[in-house]
Amino acid sequence: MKGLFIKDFLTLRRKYGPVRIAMDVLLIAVLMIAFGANGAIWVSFVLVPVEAMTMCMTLTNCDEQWKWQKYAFALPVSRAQIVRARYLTAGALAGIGFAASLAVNAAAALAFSAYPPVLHLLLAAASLWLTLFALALVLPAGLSRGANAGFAAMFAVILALLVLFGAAGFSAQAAGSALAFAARHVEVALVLAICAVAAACALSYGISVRLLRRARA
Amino acid sequence: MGENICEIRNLSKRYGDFALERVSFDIPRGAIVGLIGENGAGKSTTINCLLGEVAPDGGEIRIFGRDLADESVRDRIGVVFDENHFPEIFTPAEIGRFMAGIYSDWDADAYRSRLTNFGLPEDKKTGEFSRGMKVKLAFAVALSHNAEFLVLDEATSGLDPVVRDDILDALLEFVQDERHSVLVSSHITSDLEKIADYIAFLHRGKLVFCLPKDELADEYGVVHCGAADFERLEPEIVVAWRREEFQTRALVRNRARAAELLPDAIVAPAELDEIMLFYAKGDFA
Repeated sequence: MKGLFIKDFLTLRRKYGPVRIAMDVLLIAVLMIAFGANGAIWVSFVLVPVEAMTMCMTLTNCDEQWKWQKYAFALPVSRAQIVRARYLTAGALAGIGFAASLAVNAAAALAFSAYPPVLHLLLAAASLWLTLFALALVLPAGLSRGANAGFAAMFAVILALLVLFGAAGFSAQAAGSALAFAARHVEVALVLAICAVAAACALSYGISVRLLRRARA
Repeated sequence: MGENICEIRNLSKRYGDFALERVSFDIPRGAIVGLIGENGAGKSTTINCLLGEVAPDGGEIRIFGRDLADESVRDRIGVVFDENHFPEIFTPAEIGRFMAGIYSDWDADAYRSRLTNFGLPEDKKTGEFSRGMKVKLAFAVALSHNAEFLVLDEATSGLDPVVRDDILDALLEFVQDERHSVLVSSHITSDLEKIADYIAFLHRGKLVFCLPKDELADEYGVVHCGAADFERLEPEIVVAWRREEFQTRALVRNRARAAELLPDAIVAPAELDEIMLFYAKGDFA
């Protein structure tokens, strides 16, 4: 399984070189300049989850392009290990996204001081939560049904994100109230978020393993 | 150590209107078994079941005396398919890096040595390799984790004679110690006639025979005779026949007996291609 994890990261290193990283940094800078402190919200809730999902779908697409799965099934790894390796990669990408979101929010807190620092910390945490949740929704489709299904699931999640974001934008009061509740009851919010994402990831993993095993029949 | 590295018993698999039916044969230690058959005969289905790619509908496969569900079995199997499955953005060095994390007995020195012997550059992307180089890379990987059993599914199709010769030499070297075995599925019957110890022939999902190659060469023959002479052949030795404009050709399983019965007819050893053609296009009793 370690080898599959290394393969995924070697693939991403090849596919997402310095140019792509520079593009992401530029995009973050543009969002911060255009939206000020709110740019951190765009980065946390849209850019980070979308990039993480895109990278996972790139891995699925590459596997499909090279018909890697056929060869992988002949290797000394079980279907569950194949799924586990991909989920580990996704988790690592979510972790990298969280670090990026943390850095952006820290910069926003220092540069703009529009929101209390704890809110920026919560934004970064919420970004991790949202990224893991989005990946949990997208991975089963990609792993079992291929890149097209994965991309379709990804676009559905992006659409849902934009609708949610738009709705939060229109109802800034509701969004503000939710964040204020989270800020007042940090422990409760954290526990709820952790439980929800853990349940989603566990369910997602179970579905992926089951679907990949059925693909053998 | 068991006598057979792989034992297949009553293997069955159905896909729509195709069915692999109760295929049984063994792959002895130290042997190269050639698996032949026309397109759609079930060769790849058999190999896919053997490697755990698909679940058979019936039957049993045991490799190294163990069930396929045991992943450690696949740790000792090297696989080469007809297509390249390695990411073409990787170099052989990078492929070696992640393969080392997959096979428990990966030998990095042996891998580098194989790459050198096959003339493969370590730091060039495999997308820039020719087809022959990609197949050699797959062989380098398959031979670099102390595998005891190699499974090749049409691995040499589309390759030039020079590359095929390199690969055949590598296979002969692999089985030299009499502990290792190879299962080769191939349409290039001339290659199998060079290296195979046993030939397993699949036809329309059924195993027609699995015999030592030497026995096939000694026993099977093609009789060229007239229609009247053909009637004098004993039915039990005639496998199939083809009536042509000026002669009848018959595949017989006892060449010596056929020569006794028809001393004036031409009775030639049967090549694997001919055997396949008779089964695919010949007439049967």
